[in-house]
This record gives sequence, C-alpha cells and structure tokens, in this order.
Amino acid sequence: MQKKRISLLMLFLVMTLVMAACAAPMAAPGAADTSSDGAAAVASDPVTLDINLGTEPPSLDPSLGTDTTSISVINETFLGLTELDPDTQKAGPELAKDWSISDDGLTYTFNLRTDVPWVQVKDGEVVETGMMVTAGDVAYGLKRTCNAETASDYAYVLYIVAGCEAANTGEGSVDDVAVNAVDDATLEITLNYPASFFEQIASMWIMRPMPQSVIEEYGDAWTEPENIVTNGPFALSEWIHGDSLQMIRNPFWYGWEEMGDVVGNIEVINGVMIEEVSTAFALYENNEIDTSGVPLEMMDLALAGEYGDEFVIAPSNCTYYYGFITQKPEVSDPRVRRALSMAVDRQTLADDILKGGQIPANTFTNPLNFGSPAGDPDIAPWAMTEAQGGTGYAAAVEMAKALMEEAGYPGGAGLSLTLAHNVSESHATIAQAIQAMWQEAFPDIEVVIETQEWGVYLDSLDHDAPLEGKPDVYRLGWCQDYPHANNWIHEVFNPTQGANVPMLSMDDPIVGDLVKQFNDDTIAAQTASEDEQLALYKDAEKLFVDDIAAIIPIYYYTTVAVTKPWVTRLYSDDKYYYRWSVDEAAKEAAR
Amino acid sequence: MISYVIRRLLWSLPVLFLIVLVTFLLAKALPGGPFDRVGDKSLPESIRVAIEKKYNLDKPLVTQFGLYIRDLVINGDLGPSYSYRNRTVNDLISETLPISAQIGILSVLLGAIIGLPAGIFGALRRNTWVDYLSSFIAVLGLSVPNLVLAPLLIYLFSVKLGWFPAARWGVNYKELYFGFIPPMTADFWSHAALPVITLGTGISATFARLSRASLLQTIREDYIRTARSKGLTQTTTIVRHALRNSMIPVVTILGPLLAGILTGTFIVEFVFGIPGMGDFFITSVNNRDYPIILGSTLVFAIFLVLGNIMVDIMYAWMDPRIRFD
Amino acid sequence: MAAGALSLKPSEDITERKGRSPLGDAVQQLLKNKIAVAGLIFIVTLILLAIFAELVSPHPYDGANFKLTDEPPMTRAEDGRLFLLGTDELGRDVLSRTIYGARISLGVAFVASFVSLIIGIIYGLVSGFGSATRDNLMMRVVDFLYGFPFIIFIILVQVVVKAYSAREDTSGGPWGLILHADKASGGILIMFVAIGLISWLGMARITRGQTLGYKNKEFVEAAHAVGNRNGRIIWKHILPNILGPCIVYETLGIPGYILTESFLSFIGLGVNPPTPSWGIMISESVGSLRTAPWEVFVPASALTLTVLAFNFLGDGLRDAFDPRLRGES
Repeated sequence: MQKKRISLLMLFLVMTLVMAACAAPMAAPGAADTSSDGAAAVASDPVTLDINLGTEPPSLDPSLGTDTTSISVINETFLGLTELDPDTQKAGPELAKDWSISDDGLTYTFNLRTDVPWVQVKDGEVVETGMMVTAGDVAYGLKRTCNAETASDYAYVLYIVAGCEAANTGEGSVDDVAVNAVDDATLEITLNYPASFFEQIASMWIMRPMPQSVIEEYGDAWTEPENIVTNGPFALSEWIHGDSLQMIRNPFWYGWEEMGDVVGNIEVINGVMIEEVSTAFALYENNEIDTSGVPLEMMDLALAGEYGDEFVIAPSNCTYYYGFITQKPEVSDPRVRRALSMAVDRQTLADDILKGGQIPANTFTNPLNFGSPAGDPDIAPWAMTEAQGGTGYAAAVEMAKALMEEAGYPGGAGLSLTLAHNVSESHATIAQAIQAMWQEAFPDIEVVIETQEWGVYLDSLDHDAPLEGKPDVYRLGWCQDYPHANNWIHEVFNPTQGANVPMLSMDDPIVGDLVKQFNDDTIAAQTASEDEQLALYKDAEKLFVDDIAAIIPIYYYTTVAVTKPWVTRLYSDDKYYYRWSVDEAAKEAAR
Repeated sequence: MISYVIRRLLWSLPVLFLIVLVTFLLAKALPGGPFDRVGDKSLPESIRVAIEKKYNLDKPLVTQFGLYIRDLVINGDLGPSYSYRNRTVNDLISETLPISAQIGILSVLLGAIIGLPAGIFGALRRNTWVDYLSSFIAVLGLSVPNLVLAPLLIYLFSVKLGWFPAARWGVNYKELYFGFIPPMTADFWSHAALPVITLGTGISATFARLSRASLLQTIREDYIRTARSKGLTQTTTIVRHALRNSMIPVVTILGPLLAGILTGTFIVEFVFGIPGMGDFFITSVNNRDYPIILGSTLVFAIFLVLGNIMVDIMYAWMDPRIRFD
Repeated sequence: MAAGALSLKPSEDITERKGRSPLGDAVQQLLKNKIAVAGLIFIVTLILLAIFAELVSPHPYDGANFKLTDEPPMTRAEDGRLFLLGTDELGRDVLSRTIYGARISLGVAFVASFVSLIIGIIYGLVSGFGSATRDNLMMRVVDFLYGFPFIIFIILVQVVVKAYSAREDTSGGPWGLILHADKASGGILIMFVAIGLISWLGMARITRGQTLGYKNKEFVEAAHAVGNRNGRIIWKHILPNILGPCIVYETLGIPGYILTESFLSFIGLGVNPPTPSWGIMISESVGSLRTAPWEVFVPASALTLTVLAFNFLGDGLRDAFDPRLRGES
C-alpha cells in the first residue's frame, strides 16, 4: 500500500511538471506590484482613468490592428499623419503640419513636425530613446503594411497608393510603393487615382510611423511593453494579456503644452478587459471603472433617469442592415424587396426593442460620413417617421401591402423566406421582431429564421458559395474605416469593385440598367469634386436602397455609455483619451 | 505499478496523436477560414491569399499537419496565433492555463468539502430529513445553471452587499510562483470567492449524489454486513470499509471532471471576465484560429489522459481486487 | 430471477422472490416510494403539457407585442388578455413559451440519455468484462473521444445538416423525414442525437468501472466455475447489479443534457428563434435578473423542477432495481 501511495505522489509530480513546462518563465512575484484592480490609493496618486477595453486587444501593431479595442490603444500610442476632428470628421494636422496636393490630384506632399521623439517606458517612467520620428518612419510604416510578409488585413485600403497592391500580391517590390521620404520632414505619396478622401485615410492606423529598428530586433514580440517604442500622447507601460493594460502619459508629446485647453489632465489609463457588459456595468456601479457601456436590460432604468447625467447616448458611425441575395427567386422582384423594407417599423424597433436611441435609417451610408444623404426624404421616405420628414410607418405598411399584391403575393401568400443571422442575442431579438412585423403586414408570408455560427454564416454569404445554400435575407452591419461615403456604398456594394454580397448584376432582367447606373455613380464619385460627389452619392443611395432595394437599412448605431461625474470626456467613436479629464479629488472622495 | 503507469503513458501517445490529427481535420472541415473577413468586412481575395501564404495555409493539408507536428515534437512549439497576431499559442496557454487550473482546483476542493459529507450523511441517514435536505440542495446546485447563478451572485454579493469584487481574477500570470502557484493574498481569495462558489456548487452536487448512491450500495455489501456482525461499530465499519470502496464511482468521474475544469469553464470565465482557457477556446473556434484550437485541445487531452491514469491507479488503491497485470 | 437458475450467490433475496418477474417487482417497489411517484407524476404531466402545448398554452409562443414588452406577471392587456407570468423582451407570454420550451428540454433529456445509456452500457460492459488488452484498447478509444473538442463536432453536425436540408428540400425517404422533423423542432433534433453521441463516454466509463468491480466477485467467479457463458453472466449477474448506479448516473446526466442545451443556446448553437427552449429563454434574459426577473426565473424554475423530478425518479428506480435494497425502505 505504501508503495502505491508513493506512485500516486509521483503522478502528481509528473502533472505538476507538465504544468510547469507549459508555463512561461515567470517574473519575480511581487515585481508586478501594480495591483490588478484599483486598490487603496495614496494622496500623491497620479490622475487615473479606469476604463473597460472590452477584450484583449488582438494586436497593438499598427499594421495588424483590425478591431476597435486595438485601434483605440494604437490611436493613443502612435500619431497619424492627419487626425480627424471629433466633431466634423475632417482631416486636420497631427504629425503632418500641413500638406499640398499636386494639380493632377495624385501626389500628396506632407510637411512633418520635427519635434516628435520616439519614447519608451523604463521602470514606470516614459523616457526618450534618442530617436526622432521622421518621414522615413512613416514611409517604412506604410510600406510595411503593404508588404505581403506583414500580412496586414487592412492593406487593401492602401491599394490606392501606387505600387501597394503589387507589393501586397507579390507582383511588385515593396521598394516600388510610391511613398518617398524626401527628407526627414517631407513625405511624398503618389496615388493611383485622385481621391479627396485620402486625407482621411492618412489618419488611419495602418499608415502610422513605425520604429523599424525595434520591429526588426524583436519581431512579433515588439509590441510587448518592455520592447515597444511609441510616439503618441500615451505610452504602453503594462500589458497583462487577457486581463488589463496600462498606458501612462508621454510628457514628451508636444500636444500637452501646444494644444492648450483641448487636452485633458490624465496621467494614467488603466484598461481592464471584461467582455460581458453586465459585469462591466457592475464594476462601474462599484466605482471600479469610470465609464461603461449599458446592458440592454438596464436601458429602461437608464432612460427613466436612474443614472441622471451619467447616462449619454451619442451617435456612432455604423449602420445595421438586412440585405437581399437578389438572385434568389423569392426576392428577385424589386417590388417584393421594397415591400419588405417598407414593412419594417424602424422607430418601434429602436424605441421598444433596442432602447438605445438608435436612429431609423433610410440610407446605407451613416450620416457621420462625408457624402451621406441620410435623412433626405427623396430616398426611401417610407423608412422615416413623419418627424424625420418621411411618410411614417402606417402609410408605409399600406404601400407595402399594395406592392406585395402587385408583385403577385397578396397578403404575402406564396412567399416563403429564409432570414439568416449570425449568432448573437441581439441579432436574434431583432430578427424575431422583424419577423413579427412582416407577419403582421403580410399575414400569409412564411419567414424562417436561421442562426448560424459566425464563420459558417460568412462562408455561406461568400460569392462562390452555392446559391441554394444562401438565405434570402441576410444580416450584416458596417462601421467606417474612414468617414467617407466611398468607404461605404462603393467599397461595400459597388457591383464591379465592391464586395457586393447581394450579388447585384447588370444583367438583372428587371433592374439591370439601374444597377449599371449605380455602378457608374460610385466610381465617378471617386474622382469628382466635392459638390459633384454629394449629387452622385445621393443618386447612388436612392438607386440602391429605394429603386433596386438591395438592402433594408434598419438603423444607425448609437453609443450608450454611463460616465462618472468626475470625468470630462468626448463621446465620439474614436476615443481621444488625451482630451479627457478626471477630477481626481472627486474620484478619491467617491471611493 | 510503475510499469503499468509507463505502459499507460506510452499508450497515450498514439491517443494524443489521433486527437490532434482528427481535431486538425475537423477544424479544417469547418466552413470559413481565419482570414476571410475582418469584422463584417470581406477581405479582397489578394489579401487573403497573402496572409494565408505567410501562415503556410496555402500548402496541402498533409504538409500543414506535418509542419505542425514537426514544430510540436522538435521545439514544443504550438505555433503562432492567427487572431492574436503578435502572440504564440505557447504564450497564450501558459498565461491562461494556470488561471483556469486555479479556478478548477479550488472548485473541485470546495465541491468535495461540501459534497462528500453531504452525500455520506445522506446515505447514513437514508430517508430522513437530513437525506432529503441534502438531496434537495444537491439537486438544486446541479440544476441552477451557472449562467443564472453567476450574475445572481455578482448582484447580491458584489453590487448590493459589496463583500466581493464583481469580476476578474485576483492575480495575473506574472505574479505566479513557478508560473503556476498563486500568492495566497487576500486579494486572491476575495476575487476567487464568487467564481469558485459558482462552479463549486455544481461539483459538490455531483459529488453528493454520486457518493450517496454509491455508499448506499456498498453498505449492503456482504463484507460490510460481516464487519457489522463481527461487532464493529457503525462508524468504524463505514470509515474502515465502506467509504473507501464507495468512492470508486466518484473517482471515475474525477478524471474527466478535472480535465474539463482545469482547462477552463467558458461561462464562468466569460461572466466574471477571467482570462482563462475556456474563453480562449470558444473564441478560437469562432475565429478559426487553428493553432489555438489544436493547442488547447492537446492540453485538455493531456490532462484527461493523466487524469484517467490517476483514476485507474486510485481504483487499485481503493479496491485491492482490481489488478493491473 | 427465474426459478431454478443456478446461482451460488448467498443471498436471501432469491428464495423470497421466486416466481415474480423482476420488472413487476421493480414497479411495485417504485410505486411504494412516494417522492419518486411525485417525480414521475410531474414528468408525465410535463410530457403531456409538451405534447398538447397548442391546446394548453394561453398564447402563441411567437409573434410580438411591442407595446407589452417586459411586463410583470398578472399583466392584463387592453384587450383583456391575461399574461399570468409576464411577458418577455418582445412582449410574448412567458408562460406559453415555457410550456412550449418543455418540448426541447424533454426532447434533449430523452433522446440524449437514451442514446447515451444504450451505447454507454454496452460499450462499458464489453470493455470491463473482456480481457485486459481489449479493455485497454477500448478505454483508449474512449480517452480519444473524450479529449475531443465537442463544440467543433456540434458546429460540424449543424453545418452538415444545414447543407443537406438546403439540398434535399423536396426529397422523401427516411433521411428527408429526419430533416423534416429536425426543421420542425427548430433545427435541434439532430443536435439531441449529437449530444447523446458525445455523452455515452461517461456512461461507458462508469459501466466499465462497475463491471470491473463485479468481475472478480465471488458469485461471478462461481457462475464461471459452473460453466455459464459470458453473455449469460453479464445479463443475469452483472447487468442487474450495475444498472442501479448506471441509472443514477444517467439521471445525473439529464440535467447535464438540459444544461448543455442551454450552453449551446448561449454560445448560439441552439434552436432557431423564435422556437423557445428553456436554455435559450434563460440565456436571452439572464441580464434582466435585476429588471425583469420573471423572464429568467420562470424558465429556470421549470428547469430546476424538472431536474429535481428526474432525480427523485432516478433514485426511486435505483432502489427498485437494486435487489439488495428491496423491502428496506
């Protein structure tokens, strides 16, 4: 028996060894003494903002960031050539003091600041590395994004830069990407075609200056806090993967003095990573974080004033929509598609189901973008309430019924639809609500909802996927990469150059001509003057949403947040944390 | 015994290999790939091709699998993550596994401390109110989903009473001794309380039910009757003879239970915002992050194999009639 | 136990029960156990409710009342309709959805436990009773299947079924019939089977563990000694002895299956909306714990009561089938 016990012990030992073998070399316990939650503070504590990042940022590498969490951190740590104004979304100076455009509209010459140092965090302090940010660093960053070796998801946005696409597909050399550091302070970029939205693209994370020497030295691990070198208002001081991340103020950033009242007073940003909104909200109520999203279930209380001024609804640059696979026989008739779009009671959906002040949408392009005709009553007025200048839902339903009858499905009889969405509680709720609305408007219609796992779902929408496996109606959303209609109606839906999930075709027997006109509109807009663009985008949206009715725009997103009274903040999609302020005394008092 | 263990360990190698192989094939059979889209956006074909090339996904399946096994066997390298682009799977697992294991071990301990006595007393006082009460509580523990229990506990003990933190884990992977053992600080225990109670209730219920059923059966065995008739007291009989034998079914489920719980429990980790393996695994399936899927499956399987070997050894220890020859 | 069967087991039971069938015994025994009978009655009632959901539920489970969302229990609509247990986030009757939801939860309980019990017991018996080599081999197969990430399996099953149902919409035959039934169940019938196919592993290990325990017992050795064939020994001597723990394990498993359904619903692999299941109702409304608790507590209570009933019934069955416990309770 004794022998057996010893064997058992040995087995435990083996298991422990296996575990230990998996484990990373550990830091000395206690070394990371920055306690993982806001423990008791002392009087001399720095001004600290506690936020919930939501998830572990998948990558803090500007070339590889794709999601809002990563980009929100990259935005604070790396400066862009330009910066978008939080209110107008127009591109203004940041790293570039100013810029000029050649007469043919193809070459941009950026004049860069020379007073931006590369910094890093050593022993909890931000120190200069001795290197300054130069035009060469921006050129390197841009080329690195285009480089196939980097494997950047967002490289396609930079295909507009001459030579980038060839470099990315391996047909050309990275050296031939048309970005040229004339000297340390001058950068020239040449485009494939003139595009007024390039100033906005120049603000994107994928073409930020990047530290070549550091990236080459550390490889993939260069974004770890002990290696990373940055140049933005904040520097990455700690990153406990999956748990929390800390940024501290970069005192060498010019803006703290130069920008005066615009900047805030925050010295430390602590971000935790809590996916579940209800849990984050509990942390907020416990004063452990300063701002949080609001779970849907709490919206009634919040709207009733439970959280007073802490509760704010702000517009967000995303659109929620249903699309039709226009080649499916059930929805190949534009009258059926329009009728279905008309029969969605967007205002009720926003008021009674979503409860976040979402705005009923009559266009695909969100109103926060240049070129968006949102709210124009010439486009799908039946999607808008009377207060918005539309027909209102009651009138829309009558039109819908008439159209459906005209199309040969009186009361929806004979029409059987599949509505697919990817797995999510809120998508499911919306789908069931819309199913009920359609059933109400067309009593004999049959609507089957299918939920699918994300990857499976996207795969079924792929162009090459078999038509019989596709749903009639699909759900997707779109958020801006840069705030311009080109990023929306053109890149997403252009029949020849865009993703075009609805499979619009110029050979369509009924709407083929309209599709061609739509196609030409968004292509022409790319090189048109600002006034012409507005007219073209309006025409395109009307064709797409109203006449062809390829999608059902449902609502424009909002951001719903609660924020503690001691925080002064912006509510735009991009966070601009450096502009926030915290009244540390009030915060300490509340804790 | 030693040779038995060695034999079992050798046997487990082909099992592990098969698990990795079949998981690899099934994961590849899932529609969609890791680099088809970004968020709601479809990526242009050229981008997808470029990225897939970097990760060798353009190669034939046999080559991909061969490369994976080669790196795994030679370097212990589980590959890069596709969704956390600057990280390796080794890093991710070494950061998340200890946290999940801590929750798991504590929960099993709590489950045993509550569940075994409850089951044993239930069996000894069969059909009395003690029995009914412990049965009822055990079933309740089993049947209240963690999905309901976790937010309920957060609301009551964190938001309302303020006794425990609402979320997160008290230590992080940088603070662990030997990369595995947490410092037993007050912070650690207060963060551990709610998630461990959430998981522990279900486990204690399982223990209680199984130990009650099994002990009831053992008590009726002939040798127990013999022991009783020899004049041994009830307590001596139970402790000396019945208990050990009655634990066999309990131990049986211990292997898979441990493996499952050490490698993470999605719902608890998700609701409490704890960076454990369960959350990573579910997300990796959604992301088609093949290296994470394979890596976490492999770790799970290793625990399972070890757990089951341990169980079989404990069989022999508890019931001398079982032999391994 | 049939009269005249040769058994050297020195048990007092044999002589006492000569002439009665084991099944009849068990039923009699079961009926004496009041709490098990209560469980049985609850389950039968639930089954009837599930079958006749169309007749008994006061409102339809689908549709929406946008002006009646999240109303508390006992709300009366303007047109006089009464919502006894309140409404959910789409204004649907929680009671009706819970009644319909019983279909899914009972379905998964029965289908999955049936599949798991049959496969698990047979596999475990064969493994535990056989030679050491066979046992070892079979248990490694179980290890292999255990180590397998079942979520991938479930997603794949889902994909394959969807692909087939898209292609074979019009076809008849048994496969078409199954697909039709699957569609009618909100796309979850095949998932039940899949859950069962995954869950027999635990059953197999339990059975095998028990079999190992009995294999070397005196009465089994005695049965061997007098020349009984293996099949007969398993059937007559081992199976009756291990069935008790197996049934208990299975009733322990039923909450597991019902909870697996709710877990799958939570990560989005459950039924298609608007088909209700308790799992999906709980996961949809769990955030409303503070604001609309009835939306969680009604389906959660239904689930808890059902699990409770299955457990009491399971206990009763165990007592009834275990020869040594007879007449003692």
